[in-house]
Amino acid sequence: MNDPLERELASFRPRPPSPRWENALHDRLDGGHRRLFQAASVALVAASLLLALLGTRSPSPRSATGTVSLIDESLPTFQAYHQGLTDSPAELDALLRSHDREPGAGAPQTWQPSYRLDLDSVN
Amino acid sequence: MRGGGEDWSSWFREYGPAMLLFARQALPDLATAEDAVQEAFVRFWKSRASAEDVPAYLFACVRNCVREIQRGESRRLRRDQATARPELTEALFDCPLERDERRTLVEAGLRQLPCEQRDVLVLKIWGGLSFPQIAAALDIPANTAASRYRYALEKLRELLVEVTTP
Repeated sequence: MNDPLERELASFRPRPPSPRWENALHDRLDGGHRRLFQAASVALVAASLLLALLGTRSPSPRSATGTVSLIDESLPTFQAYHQGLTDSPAELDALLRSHDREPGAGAPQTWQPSYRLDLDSVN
Repeated sequence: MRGGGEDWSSWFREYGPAMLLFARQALPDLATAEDAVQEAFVRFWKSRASAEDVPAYLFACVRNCVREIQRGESRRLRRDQATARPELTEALFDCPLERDERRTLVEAGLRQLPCEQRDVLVLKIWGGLSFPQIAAALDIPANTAASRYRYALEKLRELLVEVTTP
């Protein structure tokens, strides 16, 4: 700028926009990303809490020792059937009647063997 | 290109004052001009990737927002804009107190320029745009921008001499 008037004009600095407008621009230009991050964080925390809640409330199919209990301990053993057949038909009938009862409250619903192996007594 | 970068705040700090000055040439009050600048800047920032000349596009966005406000405002505002000049109560420039009298004269001189000359002067002096950039921002030929600038300077020089000469 060679013109003295140009130089003089350029020496005047235009007033800047008020700070509140810069804050408003922050909300409009950066707010979207911030809101998205906040929503994602809330969703992550909610999902974690839900998983933790489900983990503590759902019944475990495993026993305290970590093995699956599939055998109803109240049922007669193979050895008992064998003994009943050997002794008398009446005793065998009694055993069968006891087997024909309703399943116990603590019995598993998925699979029930009709007899329990007692390997120690067989051997 | 001045300013720049991918940080919008550096763009706004660099060009915000000139954008506001440009908007105030056509809008009746500071608050309305700031609204126009804010809206224009948001539009600019979201669509700047498609611009051939980014600073020129920035001021084109301001010009478009100013026009939309002029068209869409109430009848009362349109009556005000029939005599659109920067308001007297709010200074256009920041300057030391010892230059305040001269500032008042310059601002009064600017108000007396025709709008089209004033726009070119503002974009050249305070916006830092070249004539081709001004032409792109205002959608006029570059030669027209250059001639309007010369007329504006001569007119302003005459006005300031008239005022300062007893």
